Amino acid sequence: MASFGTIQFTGFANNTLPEVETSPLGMRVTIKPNDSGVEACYGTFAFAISVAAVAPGATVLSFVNRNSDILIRPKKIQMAYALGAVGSVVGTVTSLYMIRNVESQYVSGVDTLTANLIPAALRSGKFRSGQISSVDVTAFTGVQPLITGLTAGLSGGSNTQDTFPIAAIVTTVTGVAGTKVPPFALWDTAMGDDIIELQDGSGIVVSTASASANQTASLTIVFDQVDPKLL
Amino acid sequence: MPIQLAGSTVANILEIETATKAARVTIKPIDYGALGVYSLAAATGLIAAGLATAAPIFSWRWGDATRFAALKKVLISAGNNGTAFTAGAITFNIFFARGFTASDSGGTSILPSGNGNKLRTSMGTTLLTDARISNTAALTAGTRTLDANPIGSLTSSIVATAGTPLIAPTPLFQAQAGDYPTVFAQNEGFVIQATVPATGTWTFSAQAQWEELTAYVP
Repeated sequence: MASFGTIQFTGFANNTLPEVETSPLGMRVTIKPNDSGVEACYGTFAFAISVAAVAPGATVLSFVNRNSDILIRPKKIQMAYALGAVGSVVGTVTSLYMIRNVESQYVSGVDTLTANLIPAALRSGKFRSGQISSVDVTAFTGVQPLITGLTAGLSGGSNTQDTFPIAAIVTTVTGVAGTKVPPFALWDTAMGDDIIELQDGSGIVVSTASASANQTASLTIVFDQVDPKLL
Repeated sequence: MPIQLAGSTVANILEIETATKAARVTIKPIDYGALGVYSLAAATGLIAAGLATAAPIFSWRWGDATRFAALKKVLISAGNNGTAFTAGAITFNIFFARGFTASDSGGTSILPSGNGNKLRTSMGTTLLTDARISNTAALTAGTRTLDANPIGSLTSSIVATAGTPLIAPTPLFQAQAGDYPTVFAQNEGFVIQATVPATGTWTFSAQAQWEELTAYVP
């Protein structure tokens, strides 16, 4: 029987030797979040918003990267719908599209309540306070802008939307007042999955179709901003 | 004497957790190389009542002679909007299709072009040959051979109340990190078939995510 020499290796700062389990002789590992970079404009963020009276085919969210120094990577988009006091039989297709060649982003139309969540609200969505604590607003230029229509859809800007969506979910409800569509993931990036990478001038939009005028939708988006050199 | 493991950047030394003695790792997507990664989704129109058993409603064909497509995920959802179904069972099956000599037809072509459906704009234009989804009726089957048994199946039931969801968003096929994907060579692909009860009208959506590769090494 051949014999082999053994080596051990140790960690960077604490000189700890990694352990190998007795059975099945597997090396212990811990899974860490991917490095997003050391500059203050990088980091991981999340926002939750709600829209009311979703119109048929309305674009309810526009999310664009206008910074050539970073990539923006939407990791998860979760939605839920609720009917109010008046029931309505509806069929809803919620779609996620890529937009490219953005010269001007989606803008508000007749909806005076349309909200641009950038930049003030963005600072509140960071996952670690230290990520952008010392950076002024003008340096935080990744997402330009994150717009949601609060009571109606957005108007398209100058950009090229893909012909077909990258995600489409069908949901239906009965005619019973108070019926809800449970939370569903419009996009969900699991560990090791391929990732949407928004280069400068690229973005995503979320559009919905509905026959009901009294629906409320909630939307949560998680994304990170990363240094392309780290990918 | 123990050694240390350095990365491509020599100054980056692997760290070990002090308490658990576990090495730190980060999980990344597989390198897509010179081609790209794509996600394509679509919804049908209002499909009429009376669909035949095992009717094809989504078809995807890879025709490139030298490159490969690795299917990562097929996510579906469906709802009854309009006329209620007779209460009963519903089934969606996804089949591996081999030996395509003619693509399925009918429905709506959803074949991307240009920058369409890339997950990053700098990726290459998809090499996919055909993709289509039903509009209001079944697709017309092309010339291909389906495997005898599906590679994914979902069965549920529906009550006779209009507006009832058929299938909440669910993976019909999914290769997670470390799983073996479904790898398509020339003239291979997949087909989704549906079996639903009588009388109801409904809408269906599907999302397919795949990677295009010059070679696939397990």
